[in-house]
Amino acid sequence: MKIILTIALRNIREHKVKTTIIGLIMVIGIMVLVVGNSFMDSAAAGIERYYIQNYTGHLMVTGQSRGQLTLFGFQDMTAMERAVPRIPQYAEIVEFANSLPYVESINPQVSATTMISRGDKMLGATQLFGIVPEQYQAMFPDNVEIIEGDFWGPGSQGILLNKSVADLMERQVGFTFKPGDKILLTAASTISGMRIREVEITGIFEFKQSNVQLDMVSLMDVSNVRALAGMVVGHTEPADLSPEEQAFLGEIDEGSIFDSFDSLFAPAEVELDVAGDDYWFSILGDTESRDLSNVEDTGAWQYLLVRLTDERYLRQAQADFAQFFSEQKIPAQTRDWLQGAGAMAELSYGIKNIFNGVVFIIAIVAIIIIMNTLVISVTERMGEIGTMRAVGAQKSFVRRMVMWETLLLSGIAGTIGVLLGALILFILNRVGLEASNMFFEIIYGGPVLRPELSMSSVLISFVVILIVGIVSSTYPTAIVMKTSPLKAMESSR
Amino acid sequence: MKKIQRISAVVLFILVTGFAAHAQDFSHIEAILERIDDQSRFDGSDFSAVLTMIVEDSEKGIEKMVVRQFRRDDGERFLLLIQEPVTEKGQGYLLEGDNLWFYDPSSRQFAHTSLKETFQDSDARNADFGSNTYASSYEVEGYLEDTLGNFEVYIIDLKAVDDTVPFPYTKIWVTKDTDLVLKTEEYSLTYRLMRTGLFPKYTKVGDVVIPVQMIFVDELVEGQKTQIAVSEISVSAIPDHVFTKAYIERVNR
Repeated sequence: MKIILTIALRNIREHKVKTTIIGLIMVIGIMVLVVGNSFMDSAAAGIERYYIQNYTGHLMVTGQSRGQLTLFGFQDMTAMERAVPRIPQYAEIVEFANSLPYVESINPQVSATTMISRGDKMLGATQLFGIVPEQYQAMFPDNVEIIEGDFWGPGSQGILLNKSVADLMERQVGFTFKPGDKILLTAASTISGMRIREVEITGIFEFKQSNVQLDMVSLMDVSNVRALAGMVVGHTEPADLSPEEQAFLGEIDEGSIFDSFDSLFAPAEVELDVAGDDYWFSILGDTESRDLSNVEDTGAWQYLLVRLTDERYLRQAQADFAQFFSEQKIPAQTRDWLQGAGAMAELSYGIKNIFNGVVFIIAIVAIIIIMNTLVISVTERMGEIGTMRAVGAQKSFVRRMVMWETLLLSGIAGTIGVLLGALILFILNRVGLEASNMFFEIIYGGPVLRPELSMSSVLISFVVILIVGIVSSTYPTAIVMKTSPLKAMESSR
Repeated sequence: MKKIQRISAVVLFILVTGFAAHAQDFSHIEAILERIDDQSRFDGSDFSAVLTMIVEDSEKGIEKMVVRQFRRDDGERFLLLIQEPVTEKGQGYLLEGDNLWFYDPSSRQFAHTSLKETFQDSDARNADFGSNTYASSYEVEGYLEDTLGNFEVYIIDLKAVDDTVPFPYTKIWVTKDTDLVLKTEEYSLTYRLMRTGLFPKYTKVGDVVIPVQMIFVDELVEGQKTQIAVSEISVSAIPDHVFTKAYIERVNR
């Protein structure tokens, strides 16, 4: 063994040019693998950490519903058609969540999308998270940076306006929004129609870690968000339709509804009575039942965000909640952070997978180049190997010698490649890769990516290079071994 | 030489017919649009009615809304006051010229809205509740002659001349003999079909012809449509104060 290693080392030193060329190719290949994989791992971890720590928690509890429900509401074709369900038996669910030892904190939320106006000017839109400030800050302590003002006080109402939204509005009207200013919020809900709320800006803030979707989110007292989201105690009764009203339900046959002029014209029953003041001012009749129906459903929440002490409890938490809902017959469900985070997180993951594919292709190309170089290098030594065989070297001895040469070269080149890759990653980590546009922000999972050396990528790179080394040396060695020593020696002339 | 002459003749023919097509005279179609608009306007009288809206949704099922409509086309005013369902009772839309206001009785606030927006949770647009403005809001891009059911119709392609209408492109099916719009198809900027409107029943009130049955089909969400039935029609004078914010606030007290 010692002899083989000595010969292998001597051969590596002997063929300096060849060793340098092959080694350099291996170094570059390994470096690409390490940097590429670490980059993608950092981006994936960044996306996950960024969402979990900053606004989704590890999982969210919602009322049972089909479709793509996120913290921003439904994000599919039914987005405008459906209301986000309220969490049934909320108090029992909270009690259960608090009883789980691996639950670190919980935070209830309500969501609504609103238009912002001031006077007769429509200024833009914002996504509202209806929250209780103390609970929200306890769960996401690091992500809200208040620039001006503060959260609304206990028992008070108000909005903490996102700076990005405030800047957009300022560009519209040339007016700088400050704490104390009032804005009008209008939202359409499927339960109670359109709703308007005038709200005082109590502060301007920004999310320290943000993205284009989160840039649109403002934080508001839950009472006003509930009103805008139509979370009232009243509900719409199923419609009782007359036979005429039912005539056009379902599919419509245009040919049959436009069959004759007689059926096209209905006789007019025009009322001509002139009504008095009593008629005009009592036109709505009793409004008391309306007011009772529109009382805020004060205990209602749409989301309960759950943060775990460690991510490894995620599956257990999902299973425990599912069992609890099933036992208690509660029509609720859990969704993981990725579902809750919305379109941007899913887009990040989608694009990340494409980039993973690109890194994989680059890795394959690097492997092919390394293998090709090794095959040529072994084939070139046919004469040398033939001579060794002619002077009595056993086949197994030659095989082991070539393999150890390759392994040594792979090991040295691999280590240098990993070190260079680590150096590049260290520099990138210090400098930070700023997302120059929204596309990169999506891939990075935030405005800046600081890639870190991923141990899995180092391990994978070493394994890959060793396998490549063994495979690339075994095949040409086997061919050389089949050639007679005489022919092998002749080929070197 | 003959070949060159033949090619030149073909090119000339294409150019001439192309220019002819481009310069097609749509004046008789524009006249139809004028007549459609004129016969939908209550000039010199007010109009009020009750609109029963049935909103069909594959997810939510069927919902019914009852809306009281007051219209004064001189001055472009209308008031839509929701009477049912109970949670939306008293919500109102007030059009004052170019300004459309929405009123929410739960906060006693008015907010500016647009004629292009959808009306509540239905497939109707706020613009559907005023008089037609085909002649002033659109230009004719082309037309065809066809039949719809048992009616001979013009199918007119229209392009919006400004952004005051909900959709930039519209196709309308107009009866040849009575200038009634039986069907509309409304398209997005990318010419995607967004909404189909069907008007199977009309009534005549004085010189004005109004649809009393309207169906709006959402072409983006399958199974979603809204039908509107117009009843309790009146052309009696409506007091001026009805078309004011103060009136909406007062009836909600």
